[in-house]
Amino acid sequence: MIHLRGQHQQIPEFEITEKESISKLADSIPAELKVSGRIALGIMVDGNENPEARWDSITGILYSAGIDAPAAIDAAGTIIEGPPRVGIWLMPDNQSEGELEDFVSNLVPDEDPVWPRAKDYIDDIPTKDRKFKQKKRSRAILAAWLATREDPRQMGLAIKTQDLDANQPPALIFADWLRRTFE
Amino acid sequence: MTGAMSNDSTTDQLHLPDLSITNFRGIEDLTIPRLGRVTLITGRNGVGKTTVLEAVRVYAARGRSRLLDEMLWRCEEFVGALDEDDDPEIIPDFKALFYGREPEQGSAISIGPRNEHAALTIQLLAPSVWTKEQPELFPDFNTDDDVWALKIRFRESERTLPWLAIDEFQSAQARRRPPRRIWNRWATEGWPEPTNCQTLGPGLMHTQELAGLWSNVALTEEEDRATEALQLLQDGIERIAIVGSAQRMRQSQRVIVKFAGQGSPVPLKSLGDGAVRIFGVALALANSQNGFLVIDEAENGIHHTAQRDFWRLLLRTAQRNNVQVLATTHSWDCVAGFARAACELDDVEGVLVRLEEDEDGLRAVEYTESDLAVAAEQRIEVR
Repeated sequence: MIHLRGQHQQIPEFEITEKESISKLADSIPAELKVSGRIALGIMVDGNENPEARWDSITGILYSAGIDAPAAIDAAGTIIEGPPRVGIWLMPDNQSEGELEDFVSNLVPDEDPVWPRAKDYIDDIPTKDRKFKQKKRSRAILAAWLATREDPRQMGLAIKTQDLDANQPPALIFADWLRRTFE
Repeated sequence: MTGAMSNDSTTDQLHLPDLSITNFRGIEDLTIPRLGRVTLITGRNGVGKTTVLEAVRVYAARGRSRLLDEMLWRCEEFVGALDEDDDPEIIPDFKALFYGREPEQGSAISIGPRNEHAALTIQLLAPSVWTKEQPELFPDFNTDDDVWALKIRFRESERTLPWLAIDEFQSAQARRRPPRRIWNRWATEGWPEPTNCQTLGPGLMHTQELAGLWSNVALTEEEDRATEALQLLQDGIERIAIVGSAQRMRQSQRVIVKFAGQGSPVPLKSLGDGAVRIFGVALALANSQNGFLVIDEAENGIHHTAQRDFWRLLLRTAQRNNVQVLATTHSWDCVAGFARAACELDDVEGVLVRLEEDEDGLRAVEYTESDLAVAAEQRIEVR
């Protein structure tokens, strides 16, 4: 996100706290909302296999903290006016199943020569030799692709070096959600 | 952990289940929607934390003028006046009790639970309003002067106290007040009983104060509790005593502590500020049964590693002695220790409140015990 902000100057500054697990994140929402001087709180989680269930659990917590969320997820990222303003983004795109890695995969330029190879490399591995579960496939492909960057493995850096295209539509929509959340 | 709603039986016994303050000192209007058995108040400097404690003291004293006097003297809020023999004297400036310091006819301070019938109110009455009501009250007092009055109301009781003759544009000589003895008697006779309220300021208690509190609990179970409190801080403490003469040689009075296996006792003060502070808190708790204890800057003198033990002691004793505690702090360690102790003790309700000033005025942000548990664990800022 920091590197994405580097590419989109209109996104205001914000702080990032990594919550390690969905349950820690959920538990902390009431206290995070009450932090002194809090203007906005952006909540970013993986939708995983069931984005709607995730949405229900996040909005349920917000509701008990006195914040009414709309009934349905906004594909462009949800914003609930405050104070504090609350933004909700379910990776990858507020609609599909998946996670952060799926979002990042969408930023790989269409003409990238390595991406099809990374895909083939992962998919060609016989099932018995794979240690990852099928639902982690896109994560595995992205990791394989990232392994071929100048500084292998770092997702954010690939945005900075423009191996990832921060102007792909999914990135623009996400950047706009960040801007609307923290402006 | 106790949920916010499941604890009504305890909350019902609290003197103040919630608190509203209007027009008092630096607070124009504030509502704290829920107080606990122990309520810890945080917030920036100058936001009004100490004023909340002062308000609770005034409420507990049912607006007794002696406490108002003491508070005003303490912050050097006084004005020149003339006594009944026209001799100059200095008297507390009651105007300073009102928000904005320039009260008008009808301006009212209100302190108490949100249920306004239970609140204490102090209202300012202009000369034209009150003298007609009670002209026979002070026959010797010249009511031709512009005498303002304070009307104090608590539940069904109501009393009008002539305050002083005051004219903004005249010299101090124009201020005149009724004879003090009559005034004090009128102010307190038959007035509702105060609720016991012990106060601990940010500093350490003097030995004389400690001795006074100690003598009330000597040779009772509460004495043992005070000893236990010190044992939290330091292993091996067996007994505590206060020795020396209070009358003849003030300085000779001191608190001494006997350690197991050691021949002669040592002064409490030699164990450090923390020991004096925690002993003071324990004695204040023992002396505030069925009442209030207010503590300004609760973290003072308590090492950060001892904060949890300190709060555990405070929460437990407050519950057992039926004391409602309100305390202020700036310290994260103090908040974290409070949070851990409050979450540990199922049957004692701890509430954290942060006072926050924004464009809409002053408001209270309340943290339940479950909020506190998460905030302490994840180090989410609550101050």
